[in-house]
Amino acid sequence: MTDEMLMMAVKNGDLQKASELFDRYHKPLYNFFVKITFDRDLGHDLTQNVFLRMIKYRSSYRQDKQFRPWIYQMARNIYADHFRKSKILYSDYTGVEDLKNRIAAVDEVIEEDERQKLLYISLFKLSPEQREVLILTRFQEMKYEEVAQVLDCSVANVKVKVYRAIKQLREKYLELEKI
Amino acid sequence: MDEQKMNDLMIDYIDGNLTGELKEFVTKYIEKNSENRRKYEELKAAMSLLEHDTQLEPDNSLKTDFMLALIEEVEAEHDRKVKPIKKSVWKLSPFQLAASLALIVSGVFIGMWLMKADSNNQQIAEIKKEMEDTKRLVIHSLTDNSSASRRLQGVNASYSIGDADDEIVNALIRTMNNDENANVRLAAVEALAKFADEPKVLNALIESMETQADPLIQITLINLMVKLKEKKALDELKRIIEDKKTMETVKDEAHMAVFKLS
Repeated sequence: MTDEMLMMAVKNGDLQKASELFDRYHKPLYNFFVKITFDRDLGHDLTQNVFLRMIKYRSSYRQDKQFRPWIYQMARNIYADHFRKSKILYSDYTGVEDLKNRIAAVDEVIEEDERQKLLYISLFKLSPEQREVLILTRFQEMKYEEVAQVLDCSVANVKVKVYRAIKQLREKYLELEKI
Repeated sequence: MDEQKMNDLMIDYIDGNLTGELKEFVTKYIEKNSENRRKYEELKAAMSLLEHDTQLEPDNSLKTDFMLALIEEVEAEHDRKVKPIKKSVWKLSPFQLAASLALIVSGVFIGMWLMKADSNNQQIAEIKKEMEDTKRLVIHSLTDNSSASRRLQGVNASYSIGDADDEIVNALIRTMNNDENANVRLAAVEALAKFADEPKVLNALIESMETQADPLIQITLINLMVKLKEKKALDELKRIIEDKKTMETVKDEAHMAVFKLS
Protein backbone atom coordinates (compact mmCIF):
# COMPACT_ATOMS: atom_id res chain seq x y z
CA MET A 1 0.00 0.00 0.00
CA THR A 2 1.36 3.45 -0.86
CA ASP A 3 1.73 6.14 1.79
CA GLU A 4 -1.08 8.06 0.12
CA MET A 5 -3.45 5.07 0.29
CA LEU A 6 -2.62 4.54 3.95
CA MET A 7 -3.24 8.20 4.76
CA MET A 8 -6.57 8.15 2.90
CA ALA A 9 -7.57 5.10 4.97
CA VAL A 10 -6.63 6.98 8.15
CA LYS A 11 -8.66 9.96 6.95
CA ASN A 12 -11.64 7.66 6.38
CA GLY A 13 -11.52 6.30 9.91
CA ASP A 14 -9.15 3.33 9.72
CA LEU A 15 -6.82 4.73 12.36
CA GLN A 16 -4.88 1.50 12.69
CA LYS A 17 -3.18 2.37 9.40
CA ALA A 18 -1.55 5.34 11.15
CA SER A 19 0.79 2.91 12.89
CA GLU A 20 2.12 1.75 9.53
CA LEU A 21 2.84 5.33 8.52
CA PHE A 22 4.53 5.78 11.88
CA ASP A 23 6.73 2.75 11.18
CA ARG A 24 7.72 4.14 7.79
CA TYR A 25 8.43 7.71 8.84
CA HIS A 26 9.37 7.99 12.50
CA LYS A 27 13.09 7.34 11.97
CA PRO A 28 13.60 9.81 9.10
CA LEU A 29 11.60 12.46 10.97
CA TYR A 30 13.50 11.83 14.18
CA ASN A 31 16.78 12.21 12.27
CA PHE A 32 15.46 15.35 10.57
CA PHE A 33 14.67 16.99 13.90
CA VAL A 34 17.78 15.86 15.79
CA LYS A 35 20.11 17.03 13.05
CA ILE A 36 18.42 20.41 12.85
CA THR A 37 18.12 21.02 16.58
CA PHE A 38 21.07 18.91 17.83
CA ASP A 39 18.89 17.85 20.73
CA ARG A 40 17.74 14.24 21.01
CA ASP A 41 15.02 14.75 23.63
CA LEU A 42 13.58 17.61 21.63
CA GLY A 43 13.84 15.50 18.46
CA HIS A 44 11.90 12.77 20.23
CA ASP A 45 9.13 15.14 21.34
CA LEU A 46 8.83 16.91 18.00
CA THR A 47 8.62 13.57 16.16
CA GLN A 48 5.85 12.50 18.51
CA ASN A 49 4.05 15.78 17.83
CA VAL A 50 4.14 15.23 14.07
CA PHE A 51 2.21 11.98 14.37
CA LEU A 52 -0.24 13.36 16.89
CA ARG A 53 -0.91 16.25 14.52
CA MET A 54 -1.20 13.85 11.60
CA ILE A 55 -4.03 12.06 13.41
CA LYS A 56 -5.64 15.25 14.66
CA TYR A 57 -5.70 16.93 11.26
CA ARG A 58 -6.25 13.79 9.20
CA SER A 59 -9.36 15.26 7.60
CA SER A 60 -7.26 18.02 6.02
CA TYR A 61 -5.28 15.50 3.95
CA ARG A 62 -6.16 15.60 0.23
CA GLN A 63 -5.84 12.56 -1.97
CA ASP A 64 -3.91 14.42 -4.65
CA LYS A 65 -1.22 15.44 -2.15
CA GLN A 66 1.97 13.42 -1.97
CA PHE A 67 2.28 12.13 1.56
CA ARG A 68 6.01 12.66 2.15
CA PRO A 69 6.11 16.42 1.39
CA TRP A 70 2.85 16.80 3.32
CA ILE A 71 4.20 15.22 6.51
CA TYR A 72 7.49 17.11 6.22
CA GLN A 73 5.64 20.39 5.83
CA MET A 74 3.86 19.53 9.04
CA ALA A 75 7.22 18.75 10.64
CA ARG A 76 8.62 22.15 9.60
CA ASN A 77 5.59 23.92 11.04
CA ILE A 78 6.04 22.04 14.30
CA TYR A 79 9.63 23.08 14.83
CA ALA A 80 8.88 26.62 13.69
CA ASP A 81 6.08 26.78 16.30
CA HIS A 82 8.33 25.31 18.93
CA PHE A 83 11.06 27.88 18.43
CA ARG A 84 8.63 30.74 18.13
CA LYS A 85 7.23 29.75 21.51
CA SER A 86 10.55 29.26 23.22
CA LYS A 87 11.96 32.36 21.47
CA ILE A 88 15.31 30.70 20.81
CA LEU A 89 16.93 30.89 17.44
CA TYR A 90 19.03 27.97 16.26
CA SER A 91 21.74 30.39 15.24
CA ASP A 92 22.04 31.42 18.90
CA TYR A 93 23.96 28.24 19.62
CA THR A 94 27.44 29.63 19.47
CA GLY A 95 29.20 28.87 22.76
CA VAL A 96 31.93 26.22 22.84
CA GLU A 97 30.27 24.32 25.70
CA ASP A 98 27.00 24.42 23.84
CA LEU A 99 28.71 23.10 20.75
CA LYS A 100 30.15 20.18 22.72
CA ASN A 101 26.79 19.28 24.22
CA ARG A 102 24.96 19.60 20.96
CA ILE A 103 27.45 17.51 19.03
CA ALA A 104 27.17 14.87 21.74
CA ALA A 105 23.51 14.59 20.76
CA VAL A 106 24.48 12.94 17.50
CA ASP A 107 27.48 11.24 19.01
CA GLU A 108 26.57 7.59 18.63
CA VAL A 109 29.39 6.33 16.46
CA ILE A 110 31.25 9.58 16.07
CA GLU A 111 34.27 8.53 18.13
CA GLU A 112 35.34 6.06 15.48
CA ASP A 113 35.00 8.41 12.56
CA GLU A 114 36.80 11.74 12.61
CA ARG A 115 35.31 12.84 9.29
CA GLN A 116 31.85 12.23 10.65
CA LYS A 117 32.58 14.39 13.66
CA LEU A 118 33.79 17.15 11.34
CA LEU A 119 30.67 16.78 9.22
CA TYR A 120 28.38 17.32 12.19
CA ILE A 121 30.40 20.20 13.61
CA SER A 122 30.39 21.88 10.18
CA LEU A 123 26.68 21.20 9.85
CA PHE A 124 26.07 22.69 13.27
CA LYS A 125 27.81 25.88 12.16
CA LEU A 126 25.42 26.40 9.25
CA SER A 127 22.13 28.24 9.53
CA PRO A 128 19.10 26.04 10.29
CA GLU A 129 17.76 26.72 6.80
CA GLN A 130 20.98 25.43 5.25
CA ARG A 131 21.02 22.41 7.55
CA GLU A 132 17.45 21.68 6.59
CA VAL A 133 18.04 21.67 2.86
CA LEU A 134 21.09 19.40 3.22
CA ILE A 135 19.25 16.98 5.50
CA LEU A 136 16.33 16.72 3.09
CA THR A 137 18.27 16.42 -0.15
CA ARG A 138 21.46 14.65 0.88
CA PHE A 139 20.74 12.67 4.06
CA GLN A 140 17.15 11.75 3.31
CA GLU A 141 17.64 11.73 -0.44
CA MET A 142 14.39 13.47 -1.23
CA LYS A 143 13.78 14.54 -4.82
CA TYR A 144 14.14 18.24 -5.60
CA GLU A 145 10.46 18.33 -6.58
CA GLU A 146 9.45 17.01 -3.17
CA VAL A 147 11.78 19.40 -1.33
CA ALA A 148 10.31 22.27 -3.36
CA GLN A 149 6.88 21.32 -2.04
CA VAL A 150 8.15 21.09 1.53
CA LEU A 151 9.93 24.44 1.37
CA ASP A 152 7.20 26.01 -0.72
CA CYS A 153 9.51 27.29 -3.44
CA SER A 154 10.55 26.41 -7.00
CA VAL A 155 12.83 23.50 -7.93
CA ALA A 156 15.38 25.99 -9.29
CA ASN A 157 15.35 27.72 -5.94
CA VAL A 158 15.97 24.43 -4.11
CA LYS A 159 18.98 23.82 -6.35
CA VAL A 160 20.40 27.23 -5.52
CA LYS A 161 19.91 26.58 -1.81
CA VAL A 162 21.58 23.17 -2.05
CA TYR A 163 24.61 24.53 -3.88
CA ARG A 164 25.04 27.39 -1.42
CA ALA A 165 24.63 25.08 1.58
CA ILE A 166 27.23 22.63 0.24
CA LYS A 167 29.63 25.49 -0.43
CA GLN A 168 29.09 26.90 3.03
CA LEU A 169 29.59 23.46 4.57
CA ARG A 170 32.89 23.21 2.74
CA GLU A 171 33.99 26.58 4.13
CA LYS A 172 33.08 25.61 7.69
CA TYR A 173 34.94 22.35 7.22
CA LEU A 174 38.07 24.12 5.98
CA GLU A 175 37.93 26.48 8.98
CA LEU A 176 37.93 23.43 11.25
CA GLU A 177 40.85 21.85 9.45
CA LYS A 178 42.91 24.95 10.11
CA ILE A 179 42.41 24.60 13.86
CA MET B 1 25.31 28.72 -19.76
CA ASP B 2 24.87 30.77 -16.58
CA GLU B 3 26.92 29.99 -13.51
CA GLN B 4 24.12 28.59 -11.38
CA LYS B 5 23.06 26.12 -14.08
CA MET B 6 26.67 24.97 -14.28
CA ASN B 7 26.78 24.50 -10.51
CA ASP B 8 23.59 22.40 -10.63
CA LEU B 9 25.04 20.30 -13.42
CA MET B 10 28.23 19.76 -11.51
CA ILE B 11 26.28 18.41 -8.52
CA ASP B 12 24.41 16.04 -10.83
CA TYR B 13 27.72 15.07 -12.42
CA ILE B 14 29.28 14.18 -9.06
CA ASP B 15 26.13 12.29 -8.08
CA GLY B 16 26.51 10.28 -11.29
CA ASN B 17 23.16 11.41 -12.67
CA LEU B 18 24.43 12.63 -16.04
CA THR B 19 24.86 10.59 -19.20
CA GLY B 20 25.75 11.14 -22.86
CA GLU B 21 26.41 14.59 -24.23
CA LEU B 22 25.61 16.41 -21.02
CA LYS B 23 28.13 14.33 -19.10
CA GLU B 24 30.75 15.00 -21.75
CA PHE B 25 29.93 18.69 -21.66
CA VAL B 26 30.58 18.88 -17.92
CA THR B 27 33.78 16.80 -18.22
CA LYS B 28 35.08 19.25 -20.80
CA TYR B 29 34.07 22.21 -18.66
CA ILE B 30 36.01 20.82 -15.68
CA GLU B 31 39.08 20.14 -17.80
CA LYS B 32 38.92 23.54 -19.45
CA ASN B 33 40.99 25.39 -16.83
CA SER B 34 42.41 25.12 -13.33
CA GLU B 35 39.72 27.38 -11.86
CA ASN B 36 36.96 25.01 -13.00
CA ARG B 37 38.90 22.01 -11.78
CA ARG B 38 39.35 23.60 -8.33
CA LYS B 39 35.64 24.36 -8.13
CA TYR B 40 34.82 20.77 -9.04
CA GLU B 41 37.28 19.29 -6.52
CA GLU B 42 35.91 21.49 -3.72
CA LEU B 43 32.34 20.56 -4.47
CA LYS B 44 33.24 16.88 -4.66
CA ALA B 45 35.08 17.02 -1.32
CA ALA B 46 32.12 18.70 0.41
CA MET B 47 29.70 16.20 -1.09
CA SER B 48 31.81 13.26 0.02
CA LEU B 49 31.86 14.73 3.54
CA LEU B 50 28.07 14.60 3.51
CA GLU B 51 28.22 10.87 2.90
CA HIS B 52 29.49 10.36 6.45
CA ASP B 53 26.02 10.95 7.84
CA THR B 54 24.71 8.16 10.01
CA GLN B 55 21.15 7.20 10.89
CA LEU B 56 20.30 7.81 14.55
CA GLU B 57 18.00 5.37 16.32
CA PRO B 58 15.17 6.76 18.44
CA ASP B 59 14.42 4.82 21.63
CA ASN B 60 11.49 2.42 21.84
CA SER B 61 9.39 4.76 23.95
CA LEU B 62 8.68 6.82 20.82
CA LYS B 63 6.64 3.94 19.44
CA THR B 64 4.91 3.00 22.69
CA ASP B 65 3.92 6.64 23.36
CA PHE B 66 2.47 6.87 19.89
CA MET B 67 0.55 3.60 20.24
CA LEU B 68 -0.97 4.82 23.51
CA ALA B 69 -2.05 8.09 21.85
CA LEU B 70 -3.51 6.11 18.96
CA ILE B 71 -5.56 3.88 21.26
CA GLU B 72 -6.93 6.99 22.96
CA GLU B 73 -7.88 8.50 19.62
CA VAL B 74 -9.60 5.31 18.42
CA GLU B 75 -11.62 5.19 21.64
CA ALA B 76 -12.48 8.91 21.44
CA GLU B 77 -13.57 8.46 17.82
CA HIS B 78 -15.77 5.59 18.92
CA ASP B 79 -17.42 7.73 21.63
CA ARG B 80 -18.00 10.62 19.21
CA LYS B 81 -19.87 8.33 16.86
CA VAL B 82 -22.15 6.85 19.52
CA LYS B 83 -23.60 10.12 20.88
CA PRO B 84 -25.25 11.73 17.82
CA ILE B 85 -27.14 8.54 16.99
CA LYS B 86 -28.76 8.36 20.41
CA LYS B 87 -29.75 12.01 20.14
CA SER B 88 -31.45 11.73 16.75
CA VAL B 89 -33.57 8.76 17.88
CA TRP B 90 -34.58 10.62 21.00
CA LYS B 91 -35.72 13.66 19.05
CA LEU B 92 -38.16 11.67 16.93
CA SER B 93 -39.78 9.60 19.66
CA PRO B 94 -42.83 11.78 20.60
CA PHE B 95 -44.60 11.23 17.31
CA GLN B 96 -46.13 7.93 16.53
CA LEU B 97 -45.48 8.03 12.81
CA ALA B 98 -42.08 9.47 13.32
CA ALA B 99 -41.49 6.89 16.02
CA SER B 100 -42.10 4.02 13.68
CA LEU B 101 -39.87 5.68 11.12
CA ALA B 102 -37.32 6.27 13.81
CA LEU B 103 -37.45 2.61 14.66
CA ILE B 104 -36.54 1.70 11.10
CA VAL B 105 -33.94 4.44 10.84
CA SER B 106 -32.45 3.59 14.20
CA GLY B 107 -32.42 -0.08 13.23
CA VAL B 108 -30.32 0.80 10.24
CA PHE B 109 -28.15 3.15 12.27
CA ILE B 110 -27.67 0.66 15.06
CA GLY B 111 -26.74 -1.96 12.52
CA MET B 112 -24.21 0.41 11.01
CA TRP B 113 -22.99 1.45 14.41
CA LEU B 114 -22.55 -2.16 15.47
CA MET B 115 -20.53 -2.77 12.35
CA LYS B 116 -18.51 0.35 13.03
CA ALA B 117 -18.17 -0.56 16.71
CA ASP B 118 -16.99 -3.96 15.63
CA SER B 119 -14.38 -2.44 13.37
CA ASN B 120 -13.36 -0.04 16.17
CA ASN B 121 -13.03 -2.97 18.56
CA GLN B 122 -10.97 -4.75 15.97
CA GLN B 123 -8.74 -1.69 15.63
CA ILE B 124 -8.31 -1.48 19.39
CA ALA B 125 -7.49 -5.20 19.48
CA GLU B 126 -4.91 -4.75 16.74
CA ILE B 127 -3.32 -1.78 18.48
CA LYS B 128 -3.31 -3.68 21.77
CA LYS B 129 -1.56 -6.51 20.00
CA GLU B 130 1.04 -4.08 18.78
CA MET B 131 1.46 -2.75 22.34
CA GLU B 132 2.03 -6.33 23.41
CA ASP B 133 4.73 -6.63 20.72
CA THR B 134 6.34 -3.45 22.01
CA LYS B 135 6.29 -4.91 25.50
CA ARG B 136 8.08 -7.98 24.17
CA LEU B 137 10.62 -5.67 22.57
CA VAL B 138 11.26 -3.94 25.92
CA ILE B 139 11.71 -7.27 27.70
CA HIS B 140 13.92 -8.50 24.91
CA SER B 141 16.18 -5.44 25.09
CA LEU B 142 16.38 -5.76 28.89
CA THR B 143 17.84 -9.22 28.45
CA ASP B 144 20.23 -8.28 25.65
CA ASN B 145 23.55 -9.28 27.17
CA SER B 146 25.59 -7.94 24.30
CA SER B 147 24.79 -4.24 24.75
CA ALA B 148 24.42 -2.15 27.89
CA SER B 149 23.09 0.83 25.94
CA ARG B 150 20.34 -1.35 24.49
CA ARG B 151 19.39 -2.54 27.97
CA LEU B 152 19.38 1.08 29.10
CA GLN B 153 17.07 1.90 26.20
CA GLY B 154 14.84 -0.98 27.31
CA VAL B 155 14.62 0.45 30.83
CA ASN B 156 13.75 3.90 29.46
CA ALA B 157 11.14 2.46 27.13
CA SER B 158 9.48 0.67 30.05
CA TYR B 159 8.27 4.09 31.26
CA SER B 160 5.82 4.18 28.38
CA ILE B 161 4.13 0.89 29.13
CA GLY B 162 1.87 2.72 31.57
CA ASP B 163 0.41 0.79 34.51
CA ALA B 164 2.55 -1.72 36.32
CA ASP B 165 2.78 -4.75 34.12
CA ASP B 166 3.86 -7.96 35.83
CA GLU B 167 6.24 -9.12 33.16
CA ILE B 168 7.89 -5.72 32.78
CA VAL B 169 8.16 -5.31 36.56
CA ASN B 170 9.76 -8.76 36.90
CA ALA B 171 12.21 -7.97 34.12
CA LEU B 172 13.09 -4.65 35.75
CA ILE B 173 13.63 -6.33 39.14
CA ARG B 174 15.94 -8.88 37.52
CA THR B 175 17.82 -6.06 35.80
CA MET B 176 18.10 -4.06 39.04
CA ASN B 177 19.59 -7.03 40.90
CA ASN B 178 21.65 -8.80 38.28
CA ASP B 179 22.72 -6.48 35.49
CA GLU B 180 26.50 -6.24 35.28
CA ASN B 181 26.38 -2.53 34.36
CA ALA B 182 25.82 -0.09 37.25
CA ASN B 183 24.18 2.53 35.02
CA VAL B 184 21.61 0.01 33.83
CA ARG B 185 20.94 -1.14 37.41
CA LEU B 186 20.51 2.47 38.52
CA ALA B 187 18.09 3.19 35.67
CA ALA B 188 16.10 0.09 36.65
CA VAL B 189 15.87 1.32 40.27
CA GLU B 190 14.55 4.67 39.02
CA ALA B 191 12.03 2.98 36.72
CA LEU B 192 10.81 0.72 39.51
CA ALA B 193 10.41 3.69 41.86
CA LYS B 194 7.41 4.65 39.72
CA PHE B 195 5.63 1.45 40.79
CA ALA B 196 6.73 1.60 44.43
CA ASP B 197 3.11 1.65 45.63
CA GLU B 198 2.88 -2.00 44.53
CA PRO B 199 3.89 -4.12 47.58
CA LYS B 200 5.84 -6.53 45.39
CA VAL B 201 7.94 -3.71 43.91
CA LEU B 202 8.49 -2.06 47.28
CA ASN B 203 9.72 -5.33 48.82
CA ALA B 204 12.03 -5.91 45.87
CA LEU B 205 13.50 -2.42 46.30
CA ILE B 206 14.09 -2.96 50.03
CA GLU B 207 15.61 -6.40 49.45
CA SER B 208 17.84 -4.99 46.75
CA MET B 209 19.45 -2.63 49.29
CA GLU B 210 21.08 -5.73 50.75
CA THR B 211 22.95 -6.62 47.59
CA GLN B 212 23.71 -3.31 45.87
CA ALA B 213 27.31 -2.28 46.41
CA ASP B 214 27.52 0.72 44.07
CA PRO B 215 27.38 3.89 46.22
CA LEU B 216 25.24 5.82 43.73
CA ILE B 217 22.63 3.07 43.66
CA GLN B 218 22.73 2.74 47.42
CA ILE B 219 22.14 6.47 47.85
CA THR B 220 19.31 6.43 45.29
CA LEU B 221 17.60 3.59 47.16
CA ILE B 222 18.10 5.28 50.54
CA ASN B 223 16.62 8.55 49.30
CA LEU B 224 13.74 6.68 47.73
CA MET B 225 12.90 5.07 51.08
CA VAL B 226 12.88 8.50 52.72
CA LYS B 227 10.64 9.87 50.00
CA LEU B 228 8.25 6.94 50.42
CA LYS B 229 8.44 7.32 54.25
CA GLU B 230 9.05 3.58 54.32
CA LYS B 231 9.76 2.40 57.86
CA LYS B 232 10.14 -1.20 56.69
CA ALA B 233 13.52 -0.16 55.31
CA LEU B 234 14.90 0.74 58.76
CA ASP B 235 16.53 -2.65 59.40
CA GLU B 236 18.23 -2.59 56.05
CA LEU B 237 19.41 0.98 56.62
CA LYS B 238 20.94 0.02 59.96
CA ARG B 239 22.71 -2.91 58.34
CA ILE B 240 24.19 -0.54 55.73
CA ILE B 241 25.46 1.73 58.52
CA GLU B 242 27.09 -1.17 60.34
CA ASP B 243 28.61 -2.72 57.25
CA LYS B 244 32.34 -1.97 57.21
CA LYS B 245 32.43 -2.01 53.44
CA THR B 246 29.92 0.84 53.10
CA MET B 247 31.36 4.16 51.92
CA GLU B 248 31.25 7.06 54.39
CA THR B 249 29.04 9.21 52.18
CA VAL B 250 26.54 6.37 51.93
CA LYS B 251 26.64 5.88 55.69
CA ASP B 252 25.90 9.60 56.18
CA GLU B 253 22.88 9.33 53.88
CA ALA B 254 21.71 6.19 55.72
CA HIS B 255 22.09 7.92 59.12
CA MET B 256 20.05 10.85 57.87
CA ALA B 257 17.41 8.47 56.50
CA VAL B 258 17.15 6.57 59.82
CA PHE B 259 16.76 9.90 61.58
CA LYS B 260 13.98 11.04 59.23
CA LEU B 261 12.12 7.72 59.29
CA SER B 262 12.26 7.05 63.04
